Amino acid sequence: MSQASLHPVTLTVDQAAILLYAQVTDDFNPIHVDPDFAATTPLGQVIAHGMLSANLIIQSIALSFGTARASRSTLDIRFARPVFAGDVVRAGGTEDAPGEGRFTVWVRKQDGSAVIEGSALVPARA
Amino acid sequence: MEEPLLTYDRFNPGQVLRSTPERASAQMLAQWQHLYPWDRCDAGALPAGMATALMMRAYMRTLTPRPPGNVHLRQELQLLGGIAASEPITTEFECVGKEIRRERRYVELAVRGLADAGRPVFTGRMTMIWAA
Repeated sequence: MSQASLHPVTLTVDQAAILLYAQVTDDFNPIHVDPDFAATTPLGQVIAHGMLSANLIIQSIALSFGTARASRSTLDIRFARPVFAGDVVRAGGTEDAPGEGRFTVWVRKQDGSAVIEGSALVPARA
Repeated sequence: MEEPLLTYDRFNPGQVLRSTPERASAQMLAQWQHLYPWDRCDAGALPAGMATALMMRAYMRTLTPRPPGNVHLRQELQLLGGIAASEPITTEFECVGKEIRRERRYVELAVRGLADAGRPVFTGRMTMIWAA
C-alpha cells in the first residue's frame, strides 16, 4: 500500500475573500477588513483570518476521501505565519505511513513558506 | 451598561462560557460556497468545514468584548459527524488553562459544539495569546 497525498486546494486570499469570510463568521476585526487601520499595526497590512486558510485542509480531506470521512476527521494545527491580502495559499498533506490515515498537513504561501502546519487523522470509514 | 472587557485576568480555569444556539443561514452557506466553490455537500447538510464557521461565530459572540490584538495560535479540532443545514448548534468554551510565558498571556479553551439533545458535533481546543 502506498502513502496517499491529499488533493491540493488553492485559494487566492484577496480582500474580497477576507470580507466574505468575515461575513460568514461575523468577525469584522479591523485587522482583517480595514486596510487603513491595518496599516497602523505592527504587521502594517491586512491579515486574513487564520481559519479562512485552515478550512482548506478540511476541504482537501473532503476532496480526497469524501465529505462523510472529512466530517469525522481530526486536526491539530498551528498558525505559523500570517496570510496577507493578495497571498495565494495552497493546502495539502501526505500520509505519515501507508494505510494509517494520519497525515502531515500544511497550508503554504506562493513562496513555499508554511502558514499552517500540523497533522490530521482521517477515519478509515465514515 | 457595557460589559467589562474580557481580559486575561477574568479567565478562570474550569469556567464555561456557553453560546446561544446558532444555525447556519442560507446566506452563510451561499457566502461559504462563493468563497470555496469546490466545497460541496449533500442536500440539507453543511460542508464539513462549516462547523468551524459556527465555532468561530460562537467565539465572536460569546467571548466578548475582547481586547484588540488577540492571536489564534493553535487549533485542535475533532469533527464528530455531519451537521444538518438547519441544525442549531450551541458551543461551549471552557477555560482549561492560562499562563504567562515570556510576557505573553496564553489562554487554553476547550471547545464543544452540541446539537439538539446534546449530541456532540465537534470538540477541540483553541490556544490563544490574549492581548490584555
